[in-house]
This record gives sequence, structure tokens and C-alpha cells, in this order.
Amino acid sequence: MRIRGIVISMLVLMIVLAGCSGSKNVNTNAGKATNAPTNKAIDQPATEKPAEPVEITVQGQPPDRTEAIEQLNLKIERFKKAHPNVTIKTDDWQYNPNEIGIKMAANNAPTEFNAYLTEGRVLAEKGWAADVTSLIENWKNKDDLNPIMTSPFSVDGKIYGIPVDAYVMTITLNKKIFEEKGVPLPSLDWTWDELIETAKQVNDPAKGIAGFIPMGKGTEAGWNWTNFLFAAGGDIQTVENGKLKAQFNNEAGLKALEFYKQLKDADVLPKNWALGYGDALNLFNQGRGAMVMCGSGNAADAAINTGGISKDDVVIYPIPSVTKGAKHTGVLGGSFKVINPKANEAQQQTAFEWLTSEYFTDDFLNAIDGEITSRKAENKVYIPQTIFYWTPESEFGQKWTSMLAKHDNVFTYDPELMALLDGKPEPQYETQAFYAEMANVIQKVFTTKDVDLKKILDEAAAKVQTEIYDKITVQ
Amino acid sequence: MASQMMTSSAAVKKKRNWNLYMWGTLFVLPEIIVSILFLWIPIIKGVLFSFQEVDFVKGNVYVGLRNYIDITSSSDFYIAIKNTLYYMGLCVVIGFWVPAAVAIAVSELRRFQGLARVAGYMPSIIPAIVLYGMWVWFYDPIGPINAFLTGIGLPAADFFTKGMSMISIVIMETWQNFGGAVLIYLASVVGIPKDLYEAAEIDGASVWQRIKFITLPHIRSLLLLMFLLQIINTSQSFQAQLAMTGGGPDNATLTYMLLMNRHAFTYLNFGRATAMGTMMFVVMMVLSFFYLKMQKRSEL
Repeated sequence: MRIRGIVISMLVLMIVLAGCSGSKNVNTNAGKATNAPTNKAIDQPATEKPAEPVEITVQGQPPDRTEAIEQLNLKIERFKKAHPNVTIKTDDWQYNPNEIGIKMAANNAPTEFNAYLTEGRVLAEKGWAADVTSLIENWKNKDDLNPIMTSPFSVDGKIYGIPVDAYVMTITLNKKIFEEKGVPLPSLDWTWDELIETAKQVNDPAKGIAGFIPMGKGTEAGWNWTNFLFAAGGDIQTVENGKLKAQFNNEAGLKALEFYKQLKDADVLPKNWALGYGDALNLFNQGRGAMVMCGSGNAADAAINTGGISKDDVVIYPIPSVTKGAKHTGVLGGSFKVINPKANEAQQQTAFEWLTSEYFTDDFLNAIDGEITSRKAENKVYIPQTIFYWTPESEFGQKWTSMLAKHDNVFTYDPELMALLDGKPEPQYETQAFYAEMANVIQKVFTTKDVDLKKILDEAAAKVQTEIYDKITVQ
Repeated sequence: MASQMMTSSAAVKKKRNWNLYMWGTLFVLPEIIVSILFLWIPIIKGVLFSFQEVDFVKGNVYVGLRNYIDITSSSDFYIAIKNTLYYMGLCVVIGFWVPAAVAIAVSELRRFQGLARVAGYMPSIIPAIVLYGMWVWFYDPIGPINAFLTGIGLPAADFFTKGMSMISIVIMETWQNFGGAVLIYLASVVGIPKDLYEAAEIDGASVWQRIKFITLPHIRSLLLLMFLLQIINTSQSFQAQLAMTGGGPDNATLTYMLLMNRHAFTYLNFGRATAMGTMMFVVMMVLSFFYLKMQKRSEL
């Protein structure tokens, strides 16, 4: 009886303490919102700025990207020449959705960092990205930005990032496997049926070569499948009267799941379904798969610069359309620059200047030009993204195209492919949770013989609806 | 005079005791500080976080029992508990007897005993990430196990089906972990008086009879202790499941700790994750209580 009393008292004490510490934190952090930089002109010459010393930590490059590190160091030198009061450190931490929460909690995220284009709302809502609306509004180049690139990180009328580049999900083909099998490449304007037929022809299970490699492990599984959902004209969720409604179990979703089942039944998938992002790309790089689904340049980069596959043997295709002539819609991905909201006002403003100091300038083009030249010496190929912060038809866009054309170690995209690509952004609410749930559905399709597709899709939608969406109120 | 001497002797004794006490305290002080900083503060904070919506930037908000309600009303929670119990059971059935059997077999060796000990311990020194990569290759459709199976005319095995995936992970983990346990069992087995075995041999006892009537009764307490330790360790497993199957297929390898990890780092909901951690902490406390009781009994 006495022990029970002690346990109950401790539990009550814990709950009371939790309540107290919660409200304390809210009050303490309320003032932090004032960290956002005020509306100051940012294009003033450096000499007019207060000469107080400012230290920022900028996004570094992984140690193996020596040519990019070299260019980053040159950029730091140029910036410091114009801003002698600024000290710049680099941090080669690369954004990871699984790590950003810890970095923010520990207050050791860099002053600015690259983040995925699809993370805009998460970062904004969690308070992990600074509101840069006033800085962008006062930026001389704000009207030159590519309009496609600004929407993914504009949340509730505020801007939380500076665009870098973007891509649409594509399918990368290993041409060598096609040639060895004597299979002609399909047309770029291909369909789902053509993908299956092509996969059947290049498939060679005895040698461990799969016709097509979809990701099946982790949230990547749901991410890959969503391309077919989008291509079939479907949506993950819709907002109705301030409430989220699961939509992925509609007709388009079922069609996309049936397509996965057809791939499984045609025996063109790897025997091991447990392939995450890295596993799938590794399999492709090892020549154990003829086709893999990934962001436009990412699979090609890994295949050519890591896997050692010749750039002439790598061909990129759009996500196939459901029927001939329909859209080749894929998930829109990419990256944008985020400023750490925990940095003080001077650091945030300096970070913005650092990020935009070479936007639309020859210095930027020369830096990339130098990086491509250095890559050539190391037998590496430069693989540009397909969409940038500038528009291709602009003067800067033309300069960019001319600069790339000078080099023979630049991966080029077929103009027909570029015309076919149709990017659709991910929905902004709980996408990772949807992907995780969808991974279970996909694994069921890949590992169970007779599976009722409609039933498992409806069950997943009901689960996502009740356990996730019903708990969210859209502002 | 006598009373003065007694008082002085008591004072000296008291001072000596105090000195001993002070030195003892100073020696354990670093451990106490480290434990408070890296063990007890995180535990207490974890319990507090479980009653809050955790937001490291805007500040935490007290939400009462909402995290606990959300977790316990999720179907994945019960799948994870069921899978964890299944995994713990498989580890007992497949893995528990292996180290004891190997230790007894090694102790019976007349030659190459040292080599056998080193060979048994080798898998334990392989870094986890290398180990998972290696076993994914072993289990690959064209990997060495399937090459062997097809080579002798058997059909290739699929190690990551819904029914097989957890078993495949347990086999891998047994292979990796049995070396350490073998050394503990061996230490106990070699401590059994040799004359018991010699007497048994003179009486014509077979190997099995020596094991049954001498070895097993002597290591019974250790077996119980190791059993409990294994239950505690396996109930917290998630690394192999995360690396090899990501919890799939269709949540077949989703363990309690993996679900907790998913809530923290995939869904970025640290409140729910700590609520799961707190529930686990209570279970662990109960198991640890039995462990300590068992340990005391084995010391007697």
C-alpha cells in the first residue's frame, strides 16, 4: 500500500514537473522570434555595413569532393575580401531529415545549409528555417528567380529558403545491358506497358540482373511509388474544410499499385525487396539492374562517378505515362538554402549575403567552370540538375548553357526528355509518415502471392487518415 | 583516565572512518557525476518529455497523457510489441543454447582449445555495419548460401519473406553474438573441479553423462542469469532490423525500439518516442530487478 502511494506520488510529481517545464520553455523561447532579421537593404556596399565582427558557419562539401572544396575556398576568399569583418567556418554536415531535429536541439546546425526542396513546410513549421521574406523582398535579383523554384518553401505567405536547383524523378537506364541483350531502347515518350515489356526483355534472373529496380525498404519505397500515383493523375492528400483527407486509395492509387503487382508477377524485380536508396543505386552501379528510379541526375552521378559506368552508357528517361501521349509526371525534388533561425540577426543577414553574393554572377559560372575542369583531371563527369534558380531562357541561363557546352565531361540531357518532364511537388503534410505506411503496402505486394490490392490500399488509407491526418488541423 | 583514553580512541576511530569514507566518496565521485550527467538527467528529461510536445526551437508544450494515448491507440504499437516478443522467443529458441553448447564442446577439446575460443569470438569484433552488409550478401539471391543450395540441386531460398525475415536476422545475430557468451560460459565450465570429471571417467561415465550430471548442474545459475540478460538485451533490439529490412516486409520485423526510433527520427515526434521510451524503462526496471536478484543468488 505504501509502495503504491510512493509510485502514485512520483507519477503525479513527474506530470506536474512536465507541465511546469513545458510552459517555462514556451515563455523562454517566445523572444527568439525576434531573431528574424529586420527589413534592411542588403545590397549596400560592404563598407556601409557595421564593421562589427560576425562569424558564420557555411555549408561545406564532403571530403571526397576535392574540386568543389577548392571552389568553396576561393568563394570564401572572395567574400572575405569584400566583407573583412566576417569570419567564415565550414561544416560538411549534409542535410538529413533524420538528423536535423538533433542538430537544432543541440544548436550545432551551420548558419546556412542545403535542405531538400520537399522539406519546406516541415522546416518552417518546426521553426528550423529562418523567415527570409524581408531579405528576399529587398534583394535586387528577386524578380529574376525561376518561379517554379520559389513555391515549395513559401509557407503561409512567408519565404523560408533561397532556391538552388531542382529535378523531376526519372528512370535511369544502363544502355550496356540493353546492348548485351540486343534489346532496343524504348522511345522517351514511353508508357507503363512499355516499361514492363522492356524490363521483361532485359531481365536475366540467372545472372542476378533485374529488369527494373524500385526501392522497397524504408520511406524511399513510398517515395518511389508516388511517382506512379502522380503519373496516373492521383494525389496523396487533399485539404477539405481545414482537414486533410487521404486520397491515395482512389482509382489512380489502385492503378499504380496494380502496376507494381504486374512488375512483381512479370518477375522483373530484384529478388531482394529490401532495397533502400543506397542499396538500389548500388545494385544498378554493379550492373545488376537495367533500370532504376531516382532523381534525374542523382542515379547518373552515382553510376558514372562511383560505379564507373561510362556516361555514354547512361540514359535518362521520364517516368512513363499511363497511356501514350499522357503526362510524364514525377515527384519534384531538389534543394534550397536555409538560414538557421537560431543564428542572431547579424549572422542571418550575413548568411543571406553569403548565399546570394554570387547568384547571377560570372563568379558563379567561373566557379562551376573551374570545378568541371578539375573533375576532368580526375576522370569525373559533372552532372548538372535539370532545373535551376534561373530560367533557361534568361541571359544568365544562356551563359550557363554556353559554359557547359565548352566541356566534354558534362552529362547532357536529351532535349526531348526535358520537354517531357513534368514535376509535381510532394504534399506538405506528414509526407514521411505516408511514405512509411505505403512502404508496408508495397512490401505486401512484393512478398505476398495473392493480395487484395484494393483492400490493403483502403486499409492503409484508413490508418493514415485516423492515426495521422485526423490529428492535423490545416491553418 | 580510562574514559579519556576511550574518548580519544573513539575520536581516532571516527576520524579514520571519516577519512576512509571521504576517500571512498572521492573515488566514486567521477562515476556519480558521469552517471548524473549522462544517465539520470537524460532519464528524468525523457520522462518529462513524454508528457510534452517536444519542440527544441519554439519550446515544449505540456500535453498531459496525449503522447501515451496516441502511442497506445496506434496499431503499429501492438505489432511492434508482438514482433519484439516473437524476436525474443526466437533468440531463445535459436540462439540461447548455442554459446552454452559451444562452451561445453570447447571445454571437452583436448587440443586446439585456444584456437577454438579465438575463432568463436571473431564474429564479435566485426563492426555492426560491415556485419549487416556481409549478411545481406550471404542472404542475396545469388549470394554464397543460395549458390550452395542451387549447387546441390535445392531451390534457392528467399530469406526476407514475411515468415523468414525475423528468423534470418536472429541467425545472423546469433552468429555475431555467441562468441562473447561462450567466453563467459567457458570461464564457468573450467572452474568446475577437475577431480569430479576424473572420478566420473573412472566410473565409466560417457561424455553426455559428464555434461548432464556435472557440467549442467554447476552452470545452472549462470544459465539462468544469461537467460535473463538475453531477454533484457533482445527486448531492446532494433539495429539489425533497421539496417537489413527497415522493419519490413509489411512490419514483420518492426520491433518496439525500431518503432520508437521511427517516431523520433522519421516522424520527428520526440514526445511520442520518449513516451515509448518511458514505458520501456518501466519494463526494463522490472526485468533488471529480477536480474539483480538472480545475480545475488548466483553469488551465494
